[in-house]
Amino acid sequence: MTELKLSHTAAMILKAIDAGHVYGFSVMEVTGLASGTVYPATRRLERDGLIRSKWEEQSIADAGQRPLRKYYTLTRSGRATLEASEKRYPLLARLMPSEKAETA
Amino acid sequence: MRIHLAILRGAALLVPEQQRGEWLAEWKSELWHAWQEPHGMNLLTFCFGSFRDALWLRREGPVPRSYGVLHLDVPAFPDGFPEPPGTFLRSPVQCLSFLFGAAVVCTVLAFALPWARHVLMPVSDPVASGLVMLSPAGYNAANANDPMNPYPSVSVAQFRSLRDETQGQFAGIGFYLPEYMGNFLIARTSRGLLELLKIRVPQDGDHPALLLSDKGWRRLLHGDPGVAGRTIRLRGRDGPRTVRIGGVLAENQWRLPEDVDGFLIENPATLPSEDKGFVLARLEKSGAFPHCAFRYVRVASRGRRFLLPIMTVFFVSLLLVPLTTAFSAASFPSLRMGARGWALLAAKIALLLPIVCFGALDLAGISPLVLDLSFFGGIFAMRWALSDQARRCPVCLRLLENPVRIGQSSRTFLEWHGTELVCLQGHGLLHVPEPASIWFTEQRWMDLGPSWSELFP
Repeated sequence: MTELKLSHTAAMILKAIDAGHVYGFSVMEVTGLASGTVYPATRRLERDGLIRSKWEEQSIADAGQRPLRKYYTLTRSGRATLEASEKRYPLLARLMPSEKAETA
Repeated sequence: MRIHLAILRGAALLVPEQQRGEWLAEWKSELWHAWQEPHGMNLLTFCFGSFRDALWLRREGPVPRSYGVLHLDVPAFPDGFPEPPGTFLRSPVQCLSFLFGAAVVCTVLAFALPWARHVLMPVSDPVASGLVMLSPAGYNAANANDPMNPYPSVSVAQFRSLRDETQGQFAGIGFYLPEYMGNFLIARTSRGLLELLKIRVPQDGDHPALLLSDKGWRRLLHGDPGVAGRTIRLRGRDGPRTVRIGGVLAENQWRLPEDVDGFLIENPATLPSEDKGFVLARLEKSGAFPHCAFRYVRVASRGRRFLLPIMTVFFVSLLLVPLTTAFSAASFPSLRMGARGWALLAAKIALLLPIVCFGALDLAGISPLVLDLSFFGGIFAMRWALSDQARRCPVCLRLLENPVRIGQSSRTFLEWHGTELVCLQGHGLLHVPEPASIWFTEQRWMDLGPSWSELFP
């Protein structure tokens, strides 16, 4: 499979999702990017098979008395692309330490 | 939150219809969470980002479906069945309802927006009621009967004799004589005219009183609020004269011919006998017009008279489209099958009339641009009405849908050589050649018999 090269912005969004910021607004908050950048970028990443989206269960939203939320997760190829992007953009990991790394 | 939701709904119109529900649900959910954000995010900026997202989806096409279940109003068509643009106009009833709604909105706006209302309703109802503008019966100048832009046609001497002749037969009568004094256009008038227009007349003083229009007040005295009672000198034909400023009229209070800067209240006996001006009168409650050598036009009908040229331009543009565009009978299968197709076309054009005319008025008010807008709007409207008609089923008059490009590039060198559209009720297929070939010169309608009905639920 040919490696997909991501722009810095796309890599940052992928990294944010990997770091546990799994919905659009949270990605916006952590990256500081505008909504007009984040949402089209997530769609592009989804179209390219690097992330996939999932609507949460209605019961969870009902319990929280809030609207249903759409969550994003990395696919296997998304994870591989992120690893390649982290080599290409070494500051990415420092900009956004993943929650997993923090808890470890 | 309403305005934010309205922005999202506006942006959703850009999203392909199949994805619109899910897209809007996601953005509404995100907006809700952004709203809960304690750090005070700019929600408007957030919402305007949705347009970029919607445009991306429109340009790039669908993204994979999300996992999970989202309960939305799912469109009637199964996945992969492309919805054509403008599906809200699909049935003739939907199409006419949409046009009717647009016509109502344009008409209501024309009476609500100040610049359009100014044209349609020259003076407030109680003032305009029974108010007429007079011109001599033999007077034959163009626009003589147009209360918006007539020429001054009644001399001071004629006015005096008319006033004496009809004494007591009008509820009121007045005269005004526009005259340039320096750079300012001043209406020399009598108290009677201002009383006729229900304008408060200032008290008499040592000098004649000058009532300034809002425009004149700004031009002459730069909007100085303390002008009442001040005396100024105006240079008229008879030499300079001192006048006392009696007050300033409210903006748009004067909407009759000649955009004057002020009204100089004088004794009519002092006006030069041969100069021509305008005569206004108010009819008695019975509405009877006294027997005299004058004719009249009601001031309240000014709006209708102003609409006339706009409508004329609209109809000219309607005629230009079929005259300058090559249409064949085959282009309109819906018109070949009887009166219903023609009725639909006529109804569409009838509803486009107020949309274009009032829409032009809403956008341009009284400026000359209104005629240009009416002309080009008429051309656009007629082209739309005809192209919409050309894509309707002759049986049910619904829009034909699901265009499929046909042909094989390797065989014809023309790549796709046509498009086929289908009536979703199963009435038939429309073949549209592009470009015309020897076997298909113009579009062709093919009826589908009852044996096809199983394919159409």
